[in-house]
Amino acid sequence: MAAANTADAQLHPLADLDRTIHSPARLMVMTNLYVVESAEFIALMKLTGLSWGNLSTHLSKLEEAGYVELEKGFRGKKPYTMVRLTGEGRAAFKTYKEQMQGVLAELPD
Amino acid sequence: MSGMLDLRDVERRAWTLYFQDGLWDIFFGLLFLGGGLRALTGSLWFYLLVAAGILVFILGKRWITLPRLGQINYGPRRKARLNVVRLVGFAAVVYTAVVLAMILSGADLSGIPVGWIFVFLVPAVLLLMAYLMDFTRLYGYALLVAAFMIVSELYGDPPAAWAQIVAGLVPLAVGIVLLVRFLRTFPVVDEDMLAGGGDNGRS
Repeated sequence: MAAANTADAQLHPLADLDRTIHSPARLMVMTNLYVVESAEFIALMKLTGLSWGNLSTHLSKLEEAGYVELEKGFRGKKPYTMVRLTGEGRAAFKTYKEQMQGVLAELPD
Repeated sequence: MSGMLDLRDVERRAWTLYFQDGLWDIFFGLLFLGGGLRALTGSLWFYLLVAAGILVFILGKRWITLPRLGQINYGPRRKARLNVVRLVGFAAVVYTAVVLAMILSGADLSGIPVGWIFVFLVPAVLLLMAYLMDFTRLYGYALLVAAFMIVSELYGDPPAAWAQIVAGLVPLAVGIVLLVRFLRTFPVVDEDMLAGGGDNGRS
């Protein structure tokens, strides 16, 4: 019983992980956006390897959570979409990163 | 976690994606080739190759790379590194201009090994640019430049001109191969077309 409680205590931070970020595809998107100021939708497709539809879906979820903002524009007659992390999104990713580092560092080999 | 996800590596990957188009290689290739052919033939017309290199680079980035990869605005660390690259490039141009002005004005530089200073300076600037820009192939091109400049100091033309032509052909060939591969790998992406494809288009 005591051992189970210890394990719960060790794994507790996992329960607090931000599930919006924790999906592999959204984590890829957030990671790539975290290291730059902003990226065009097409560039994000290349960097993450996600299809247009997949990336659209995941960006919509991140936008709903207030983690990214999308800005549409035109280059000549061609439309483009710039994506950037909001302050909230940047903070959420930083927290997620620290939580994961903490959890994994404490796990036994 | 840090072992699995290196954020600097992610950023570097986003940055080096734009070096896959081969346009920098074509630029350096035409730059060296133009200079070499000019030295070999004495014809100023070959400087048009240098102008072509600049044009291909600027227009290629605008009309080939951007529609295929989109645009990325990089973070402060990358911008700071690029500012250092600009500063180093500017300092090298100013230094070259000053030395040329002194030579043209007939100043006595007999005690100064101007040629050998350039043999070290130009490759050093290119090596620094390669490091700051994370542009691995530029290390090789810097060595090619060092080689033809050493030949130039030791043997003069035409051996130096031929060495410079070879030093130009190498990056030019690499650049053309990369550009062809780039065009095949990355088709033009039109957001309008994709959004209209019914593939979970965003509203």
